[in-house]
Amino acid sequence: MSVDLAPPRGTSTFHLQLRRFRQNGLSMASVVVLAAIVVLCFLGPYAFPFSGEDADFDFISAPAAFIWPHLFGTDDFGRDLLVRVLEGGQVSLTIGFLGALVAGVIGVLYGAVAGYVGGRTDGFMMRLVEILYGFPYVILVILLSLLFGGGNVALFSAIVFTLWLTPAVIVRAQAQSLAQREFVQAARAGGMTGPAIVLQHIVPNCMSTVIVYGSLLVPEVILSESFLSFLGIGIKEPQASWGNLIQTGTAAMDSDLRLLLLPGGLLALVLLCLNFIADGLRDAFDPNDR
Amino acid sequence: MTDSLLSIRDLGVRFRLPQGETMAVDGVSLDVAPGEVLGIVGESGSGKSQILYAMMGLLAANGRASGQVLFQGQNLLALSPDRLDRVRGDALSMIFQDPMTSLNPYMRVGDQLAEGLIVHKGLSKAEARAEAVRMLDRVRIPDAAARARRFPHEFSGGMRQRVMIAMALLAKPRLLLADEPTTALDVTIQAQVLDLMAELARETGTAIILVTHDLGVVARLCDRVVVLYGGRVMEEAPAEVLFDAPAHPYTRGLLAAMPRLETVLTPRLGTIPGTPRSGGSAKGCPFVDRCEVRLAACTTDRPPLRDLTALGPGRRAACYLTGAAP
Amino acid sequence: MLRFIGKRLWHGGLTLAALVTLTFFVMRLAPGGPFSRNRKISPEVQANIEAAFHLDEPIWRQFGRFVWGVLRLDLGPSTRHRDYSVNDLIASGLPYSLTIGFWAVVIAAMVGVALGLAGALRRNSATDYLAGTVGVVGIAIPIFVIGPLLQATFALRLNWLPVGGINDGWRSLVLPVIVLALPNIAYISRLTRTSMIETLRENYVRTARAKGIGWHRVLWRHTLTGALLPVIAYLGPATAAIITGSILIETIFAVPGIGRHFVDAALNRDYPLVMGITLLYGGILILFNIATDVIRAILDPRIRNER
Repeated sequence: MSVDLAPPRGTSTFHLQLRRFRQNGLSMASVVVLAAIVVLCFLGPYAFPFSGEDADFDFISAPAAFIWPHLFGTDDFGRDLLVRVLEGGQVSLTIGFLGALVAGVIGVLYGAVAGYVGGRTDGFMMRLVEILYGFPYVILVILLSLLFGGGNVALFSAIVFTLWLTPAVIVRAQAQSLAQREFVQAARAGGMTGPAIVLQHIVPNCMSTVIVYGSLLVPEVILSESFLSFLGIGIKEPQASWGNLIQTGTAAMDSDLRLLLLPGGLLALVLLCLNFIADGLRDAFDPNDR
Repeated sequence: MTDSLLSIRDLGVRFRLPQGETMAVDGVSLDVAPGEVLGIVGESGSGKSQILYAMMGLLAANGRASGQVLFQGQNLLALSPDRLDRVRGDALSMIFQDPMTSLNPYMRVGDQLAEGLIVHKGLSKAEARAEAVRMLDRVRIPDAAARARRFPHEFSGGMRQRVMIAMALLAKPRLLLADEPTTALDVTIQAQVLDLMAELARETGTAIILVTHDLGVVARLCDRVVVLYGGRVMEEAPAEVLFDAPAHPYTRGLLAAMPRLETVLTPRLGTIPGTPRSGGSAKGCPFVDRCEVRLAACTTDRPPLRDLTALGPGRRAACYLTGAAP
Repeated sequence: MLRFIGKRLWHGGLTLAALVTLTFFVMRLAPGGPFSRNRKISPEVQANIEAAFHLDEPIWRQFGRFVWGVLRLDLGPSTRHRDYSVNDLIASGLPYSLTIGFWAVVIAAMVGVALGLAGALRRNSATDYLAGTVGVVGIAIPIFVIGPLLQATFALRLNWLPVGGINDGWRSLVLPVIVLALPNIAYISRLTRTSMIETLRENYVRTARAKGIGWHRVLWRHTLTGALLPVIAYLGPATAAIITGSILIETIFAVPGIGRHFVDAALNRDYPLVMGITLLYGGILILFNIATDVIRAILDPRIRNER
């Protein structure tokens, strides 16, 4: 019954996992599509002789006729829809990836320290997390963005502040079991300091879990941002973001669905890709899960 | 053999895997007489457990069994799920390797035992529970009536395996399949649990197939032994003669690797060089790569399992050398 | 079991106390007072208003007053809707929010579990792919995209259902409930599927099959508890989230529920109303978490015996 499942010599687990991920067609296609969207959002607007905030009074509420320069038409201020959507994408994507990164780093460090140190410190730190979990997520984001006084930075901080909890809990559980392992105890016996052990032994060994959950954070952050902007609490006009563009589209949907479909479709596509990528990462790094 | 309770003919078990098909059990034939204790030994991956799973219809989803398993005149492999359910848990039952995970954690132990009786024997809930308590008492669970109302996590490993034995013997089966029933237990209680199982089976006249990699267990309990390697039968013999005069080079290797009283003073136990070959589907003898006495023919032609009447009754081996030299 | 419930209640109380405190100070620290927009009013009027709302007192007195109010379940007057107390506003909005939330949870749980189980039992069948597609769509397309799209289709184009509001009886409920349930159907069906597949691989399920008790009995008595425990663990917080998630739904479908009140209050810095609704939401979340823990403890004896 024994079948040779062992990897060829010289292949690390990480490379093996990466290879498994690359064999997942849907995930790889999502990576390509996502990369294309990112490039389009950040470079696309340079192809046009105006920015998303420039009003073109000769073309107010122009339809999507695919005529240069307003390919997808304009809104009721005469602003180019496509350029606004691409610029909104810059905001949403930047906040998404940066937010997930920051929330992930905070969560991982917090969880690693709590799990490694243990005892009362751990009890206190986790009690705090539990209390923050007691806040309804939506309410907490809204309260925090009010507290930070509105604006992009406030929005960003509020989202990060609410999303670091889950990675913290997950990493803490892993750090707790890692702290008992021989190599960590050997490091401690060898005189390595606590912070060094956390950074060099605990965190790297939690990495595959972190990658899997981190990849799920990105769509969550993007969703939170657009959700708040949709409600008028996040990014405000005239600056564009997918959330407030969708809101504008909703207001005009009885006459013209285009204003809703373009930003909404792009947002859905990005979220779809991110979810497929997260699925692929989970299957590759955590094959027992299915 | 008309008097046999079970007769397996040319049993094969294949698994579909991403990298192709693999043969876990390859052309195994064996018989079990009523009340007999048959041991199946082999190292991990020799396919010994899969024989039992195939009989019970419990192969993994990607596994497929071929051949014939005649139990009380019915071919188990050809039965519909409904018909099979009438056999398993009733005339044919099984004890699994890991007692820690083999009991339902959400159900009271007594209810798990009673369930089989309610379905197979048509007992009422109360009758079945009373029967379950009696059986728990017989496997020496202290304070059985109170214990029956407890959940599995409140039992130790040894107690859980005794519960499993109680569950398996409750319906008074004709044949009990035991898949390494003590490997997950503390060494100190292994013998105790095995003896209990054998004793109760003797009382009810139940035959046992005991799958194990522990030759000490075989020596202790079994009437007859089948040695498995790479999914094929290497040797079959009555237990006492196997230990005195193994016929197959693989069996000799296994015995050399087994600690005994008289070898305690020698510094090293024997080992079989190499690792078991995977698949078992290639031509030649599956053991050829690790065999110390191989012939040229061993790599090209598979040695058939032949009766060794010269060595004694009921002996068979699949080796060119033992066939030639008595 | 009683001790278990007592312990959960105690933890819930602690969390609620922290919630009360944090909410109060966050609201006080947030820039811009409730009346700073009306710059034209004279200093005397300003002082009168502040006195009426006790904004002139030291912050500790205000906090004490607030806590005392909370204990008496009196959340004080709204600073924006002059003639209403926070209690009035909550009482007027809560029935709408609860109705939509309740039906959304019921539908999400039933459809989600059914799809997940069907997918797990017949892997790679048509049902499995359907459930997978619903799962992907429900998770990837946000409520505030799919909501307006359904409005545009079923209300504006086909004219089958009202666009929004609350004046058409059950017909006004259909779209909000479906849109609110959709992402949860997606999540619950995925969770159920994974968890059922895992349970089917458990050794104890193999034991049950070996007992020859029939496939249906194996499924009902030996796999459902194990498979649904994670779903139940998710449903508690999810129910609370669905009720709070109705903020978006109420905005999209113009339902005068508490979610809509909350957003308005937040935008207008109506502190008492924001605090009142935050506490309500927090209380709901804590209550559902406790309920979930208790149900899980009833189903799983190992949780019951913990600590």
